[in-house]
Amino acid sequence: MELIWIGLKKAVLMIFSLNPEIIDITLLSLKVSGTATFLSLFIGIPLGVFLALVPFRGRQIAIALVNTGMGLPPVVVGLLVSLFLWRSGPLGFLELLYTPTAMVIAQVIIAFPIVAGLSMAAFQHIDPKLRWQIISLGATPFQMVVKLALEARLPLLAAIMAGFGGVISEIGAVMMVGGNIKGQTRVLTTAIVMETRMGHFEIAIALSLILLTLTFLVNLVLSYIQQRGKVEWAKPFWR
Amino acid sequence: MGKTILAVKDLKYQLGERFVLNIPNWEVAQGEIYVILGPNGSGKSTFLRLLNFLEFPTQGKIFFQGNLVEGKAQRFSLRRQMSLVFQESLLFNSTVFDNVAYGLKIRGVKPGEVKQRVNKALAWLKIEHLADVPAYLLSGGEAQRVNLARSLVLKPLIFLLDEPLANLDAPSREKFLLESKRLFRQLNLTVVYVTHEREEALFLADHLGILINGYLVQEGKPEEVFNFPASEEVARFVGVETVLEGKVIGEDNGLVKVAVGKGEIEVAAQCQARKVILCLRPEEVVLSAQPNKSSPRNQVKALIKKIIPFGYFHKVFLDAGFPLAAFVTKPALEELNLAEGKEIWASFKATAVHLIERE
Repeated sequence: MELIWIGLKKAVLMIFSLNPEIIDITLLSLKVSGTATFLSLFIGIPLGVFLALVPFRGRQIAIALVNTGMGLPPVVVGLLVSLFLWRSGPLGFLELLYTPTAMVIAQVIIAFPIVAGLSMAAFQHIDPKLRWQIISLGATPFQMVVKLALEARLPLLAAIMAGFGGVISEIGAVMMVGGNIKGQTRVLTTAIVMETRMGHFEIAIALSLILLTLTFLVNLVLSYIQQRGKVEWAKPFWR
Repeated sequence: MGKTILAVKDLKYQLGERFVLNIPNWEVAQGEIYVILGPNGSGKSTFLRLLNFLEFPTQGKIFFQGNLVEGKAQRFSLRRQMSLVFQESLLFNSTVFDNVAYGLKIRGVKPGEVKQRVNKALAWLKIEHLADVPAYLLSGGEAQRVNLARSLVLKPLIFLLDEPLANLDAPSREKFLLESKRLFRQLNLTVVYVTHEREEALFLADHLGILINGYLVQEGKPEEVFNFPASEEVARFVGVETVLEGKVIGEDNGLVKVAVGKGEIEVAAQCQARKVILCLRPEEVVLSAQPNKSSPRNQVKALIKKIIPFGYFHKVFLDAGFPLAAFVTKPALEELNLAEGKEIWASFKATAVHLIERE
């Protein structure tokens, strides 16, 4: 019990003393996972829209693949990206292994199926007649998709949150393709594992607190955007 | 009424083996209110969606002002000159103002003009006070007004409506109907209006088409269609009343005198309109060889045009200076010795006539 208590005290001190190493680690985590989430939106949302709105042969299989992708184990992704980026691998000449770029690539692969699957559900949930109505009001197909996205903004933002949550917390892939190199590819999750193994519990606790706070703040901002302008018009039924 | 603005030729829409629609010829004239009346599942809504290019016919052509509409670009530009209002309001999750402004914004209209035009449209439908209200707080009637405003603000050349009143209660429906018709005329709109309500059709239609099982089984002026159904299925659907268009020529003590065709009919009603539609159920009409001694308000000598068996009764179509129909039982038919081409006395009470104010 004392171990936890001392650890917590030291951790709080460490956070407020603005330890430069901890700041670097935190910033890199944010940068890698933020970039990965951002990029995954550009693949995930169009893919989700396509799967939700366009009928084509093999659509069921594509949807099943995306749903499988939502539960992709990060270590498998890490292995896959490592194989491709390995010095002798097909993309070895890019010399990306053990760089933040490699970590972003791996996290995009983890995040985009989550974003695609959830945004597909968001679009499919909209009354198909609303599509007709928007087109009938004179919208181009692109304008229609934009309008539908605005109508589905709540579940779409949930998709973004789920994507970010998936990558900020994962460790298998960033460990494998990043290598946890001090000052270069060390992020919060990999640092927590390492410090715990070395018995530096106070640092591990400090990093964990930061990770939780960070996740909370990002979700707070997204939730604020999501719930903005929503009026509680139905009174709780139990009153 | 003006020239033909929209026409279809050999239009077919098929789902598997089944014809949902099969319309060899159809057109609507500029400024006309064309009502398509039909039971549920007759293909009415599908027809509107085909006209709006939201779906594509299995076969057939659509002409706009005499020109064949072909290709994506033409369909798009024509779609922007029409607007379809659905039975469900399908409002966006934003304020009433933003809902109505949507069509203008995506057309790149400048904000100043958007504001002006939206306010005007809100005023047409008497919902200016709702401009800043979120759409989901509206009642069904208000939502449908917003829905109408959202389409009307675009000043469509052709206005398509798919049972817009189906979800409203009876009093709102009546009010809505009156205001809509005034608005259609005021804006000189060409309207294609789909419904299964006969009263709506009678009130609105310049031209009426009956759609049953995907076939346009009869077309014409509403009173023509209602009085002379082309087939038994039409008769069954449009009801069996005699429907007459007339002009009010006098009113006295709750008794309205209406000029109809070459004759006159007295109706027990209150009436402010000049033009009216009179409905009379055939079972209210009594036929007799001699004038009726109890001297009902309306008594005329009529020529028998046609006699058709109709369930337990025979339906007798008469010309009394205006069309008239009566039901008689088989024994009565034989007793009166009725036959086509013969003359007979027809009488009905002033209270038996149902009056619909039209203009």
